[in-house]
Amino acid sequence: MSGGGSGKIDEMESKKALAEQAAISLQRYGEVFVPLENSYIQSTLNQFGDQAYQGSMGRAATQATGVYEAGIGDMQNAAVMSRGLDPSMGAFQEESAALRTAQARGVGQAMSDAGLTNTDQAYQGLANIVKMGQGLATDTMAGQMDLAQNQADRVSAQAQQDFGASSSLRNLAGTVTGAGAGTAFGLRNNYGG
Amino acid sequence: MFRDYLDQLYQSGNPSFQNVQDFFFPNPDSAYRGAPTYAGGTSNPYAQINPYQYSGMDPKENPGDKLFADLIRAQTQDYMTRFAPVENFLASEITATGTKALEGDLQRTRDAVATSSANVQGTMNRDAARYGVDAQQLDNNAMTSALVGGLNATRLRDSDRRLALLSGMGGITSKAQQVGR
Repeated sequence: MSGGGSGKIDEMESKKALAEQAAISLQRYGEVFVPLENSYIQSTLNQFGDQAYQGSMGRAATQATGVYEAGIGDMQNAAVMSRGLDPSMGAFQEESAALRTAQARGVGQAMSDAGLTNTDQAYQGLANIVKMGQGLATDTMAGQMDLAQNQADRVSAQAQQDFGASSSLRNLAGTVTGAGAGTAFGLRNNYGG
Repeated sequence: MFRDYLDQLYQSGNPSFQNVQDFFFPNPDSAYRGAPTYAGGTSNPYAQINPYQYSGMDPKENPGDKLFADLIRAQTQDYMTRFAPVENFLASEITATGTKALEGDLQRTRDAVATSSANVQGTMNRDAARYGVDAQQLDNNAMTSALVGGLNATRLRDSDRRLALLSGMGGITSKAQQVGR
């Protein structure tokens, strides 16, 4: 320490070195990570846009339609081959109409759920950005993937339940998907299904 | 489908027609808000900092301290430019009962049920034509039930979303309070 008459104390050299190190680290953060963060922020905001909704709801509709079409095809084959029904018979038409109604409801639910999930993801992304701003850790990607998987599971479970009511398919094993029990679709009661 | 019920309500002169109409089929234009624009900037917010700006300064003038002060100011400016607008947007999205996304979500649910009904009815009509039989109609009661249930579920999801945002932001604000002390 050097004194003299000024009364001021010499700052330690290490403090200046630490400040320089912090400045260099921040500059690198600005060069490397700030553009990535800005890109993430813009992507998250874009998720509120029509294109994001159309994409996720369209994919859900395709996925759910594929599940139901395969099951209805199996039902019609089973009705003709095993039960001796033909397409002009009332029993065949009633069962087809019932499953088509289930399909319309199931696909509508899947699309609606995909739209709601997209909104959830957008808000979750905003919450993550706020955490980033507060210097908190984020679990961004893990959260998004979990939400997407939940959506697929719900569609499969709902379809499995719908086909479980079909007389022609009741004893046909492994018709739709390998997903869990029909009660897994948490929204079922709310949809009046 | 549900439109038939509304038509009957309208033709009967029932005064509650308009309320029912507005609830189930409001003006869709107001529901699609589009993506917000992010104005956080694209440049490096720390490019102006010179790590060696105070390297020749007398140690009695606290050069390290001054550089640290510059860094804190730059970080604060960066936060105010890039993150504070997002925080403001998120906070402004929360309403008394849910979020501002509710109207759009309700409209999308209506569209989803209506679209899937129309598509499946079209498939049924094509099937019937192929078999040479009269086309069956979808169960109107089931589809109306699906629509009403879907709208209820949408409102519940939005209400849950509000609580999640409020609790999440509660944790964030307590962190911010600690930083401010």
